[in-house]
Amino acid sequence: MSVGGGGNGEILVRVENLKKWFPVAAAGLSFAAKREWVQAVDDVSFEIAKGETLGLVGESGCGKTTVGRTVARLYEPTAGKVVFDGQSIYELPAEEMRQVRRKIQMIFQDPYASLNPRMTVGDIVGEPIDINRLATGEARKNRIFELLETVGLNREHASRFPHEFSGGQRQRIGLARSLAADPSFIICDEPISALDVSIQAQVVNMLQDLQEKMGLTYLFIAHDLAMVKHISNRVAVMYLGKIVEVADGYELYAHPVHPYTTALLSAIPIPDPGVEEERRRIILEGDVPSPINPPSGCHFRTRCRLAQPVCSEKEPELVDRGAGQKVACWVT
Amino acid sequence: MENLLRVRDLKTSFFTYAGEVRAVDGVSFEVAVGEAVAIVGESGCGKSVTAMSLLRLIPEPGKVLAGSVELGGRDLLRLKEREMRHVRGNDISMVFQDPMTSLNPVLTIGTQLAEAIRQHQKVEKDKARARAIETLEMVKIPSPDKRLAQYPHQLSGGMRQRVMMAMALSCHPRLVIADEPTTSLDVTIQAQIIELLKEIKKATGMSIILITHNLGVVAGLATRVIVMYAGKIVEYGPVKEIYQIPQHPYTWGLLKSVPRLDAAEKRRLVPIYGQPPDLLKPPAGCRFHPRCDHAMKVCREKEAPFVPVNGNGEHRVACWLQHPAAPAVAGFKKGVPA
Repeated sequence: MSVGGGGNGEILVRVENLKKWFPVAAAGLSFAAKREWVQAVDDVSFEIAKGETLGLVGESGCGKTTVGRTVARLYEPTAGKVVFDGQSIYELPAEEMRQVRRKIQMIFQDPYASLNPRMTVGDIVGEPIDINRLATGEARKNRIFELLETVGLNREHASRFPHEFSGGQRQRIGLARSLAADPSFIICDEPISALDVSIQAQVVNMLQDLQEKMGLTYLFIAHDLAMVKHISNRVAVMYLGKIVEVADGYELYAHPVHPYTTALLSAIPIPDPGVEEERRRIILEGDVPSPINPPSGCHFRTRCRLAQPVCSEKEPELVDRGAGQKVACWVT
Repeated sequence: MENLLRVRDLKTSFFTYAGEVRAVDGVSFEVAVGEAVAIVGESGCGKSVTAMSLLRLIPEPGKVLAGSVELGGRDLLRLKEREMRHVRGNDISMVFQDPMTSLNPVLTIGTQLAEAIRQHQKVEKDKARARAIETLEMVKIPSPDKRLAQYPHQLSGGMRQRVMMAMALSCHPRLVIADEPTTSLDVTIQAQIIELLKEIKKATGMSIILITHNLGVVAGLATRVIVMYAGKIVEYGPVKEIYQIPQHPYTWGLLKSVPRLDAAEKRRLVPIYGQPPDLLKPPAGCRFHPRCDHAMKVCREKEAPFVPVNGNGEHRVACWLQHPAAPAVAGFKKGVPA
């Protein structure tokens, strides 16, 4: 039930049946209480081809950030496998993992919290160079200048501190840092959600330019489906720990199959009053259930207007519906 | 349409150690009865400060320096604090952005709702409770009588925002100011809340000032749009005109820098380069000129007058490109809708 790569490209990242469960204290004070688990990511599989961008969308708490962090092995997985460039990374010992992690980098959501306020920008960008012993002295300095210029900053910025920069500039610093170790795969976790709209476009355009220039592969995690569709080749939609549908972004918009995808698409406002007047919304009732005790069968069935008895009995698998579109639904 | 609120030349500054920050610098607009007006702009453009100024809730070291805020013939800026308290909640109420921090975590929903009602209207406790249940029903919270005994942490984000709305609506205000009411919510929940706002507006005939940076939300709810940049209104007009024939390069930029979900093909986004200005020392002339692709010499020197775009004067813009002597700009339709 894995998700095929876009185009004929070679697969760079293959995620197989990934699970990440977090323990939580059980309610009450009983010592006999059973340990409960937040099933943040529950059996997720996908592939990303070299040079491709896979978008991962979903609402808060659906597990998209956990997928990103577990794929980078910042979290140890509960079960499953991630094959990066031919190596199964969860089986690697620490020293070899360090070599691989150089190739897998991350950009974080909050440009204020993800930079050390006491380090200069030069040292922040230089840290991956030091850790991986890529350069020293003059070569290190030149590499830092080069990286800053790559992301549209200049060399004078190297001696300044993060608080002297705006949100958009800080996100550029974070990007320069992620590029420092010469990665092939970057996990972008909501890299633009904290930025103003005019600045978002600057950062997104830069991510696209860098991908073209350096052949980077992205996992782009965000809740803004319009932006994800814009930047990605394929889009995977997550709901409560599972991928419910994956397809080419334009295909997904034109022919959504899963009822959750349909509802999600219809909920997103379009900046055009003429279009908005004509649109009919599918308003989902209620809230996302708790990932501690997710509904049996299909996780979405409690809010699904098409739910049938079978949906509560058996979990639907991601099935290929042609043209690379995969859907996990019993009904549609 | 009859005007409910008339704001004239509002100026609000914050007196910081670094100097005077002119957060709102000469803002004028009207809100008609039963109308939804959206104020859009990026962080720090003064949209929230404008709203807080209307309610006279500007915290130290800020101060409303000049202007007038007329509601039903009275200038709110000249009322005594005691009278102003009566206006808040009864005539104008507010829904804040973050339902997480704007509810008191140690009081039940019922206590907080009843407090709001009893603060503004003289009613007995049990009457207030009945009213609280009524307003919770209005915002479509299931089993409202049970919810009254619950605490904010027991509710989801969307439910909390409904409680905030219930509180704002509890005294049947004529104007509700919604400051980024859906920004911290997920899109499916955002759709629920926007739909609810529309229904309540239709049912009660109240007016809404919607403050947001989300141009999609505006398109679905507002009848008129005010675009703010660096403390000033740069353009305002009927919602369709703002989207179809935006006249200010900033409005234009805002619309082009976001991808549309219904776009049929990939088109590179057009960002607005640079940063919004530091309001301690705003640029001379038009405040947008350092980021404007079409800036001329006059833009750097003199502020552009606010001119009508078409005959009826409902759509106005402050931009020198409107001047008869200004050069034509490719892809830019000046004036009357084609």
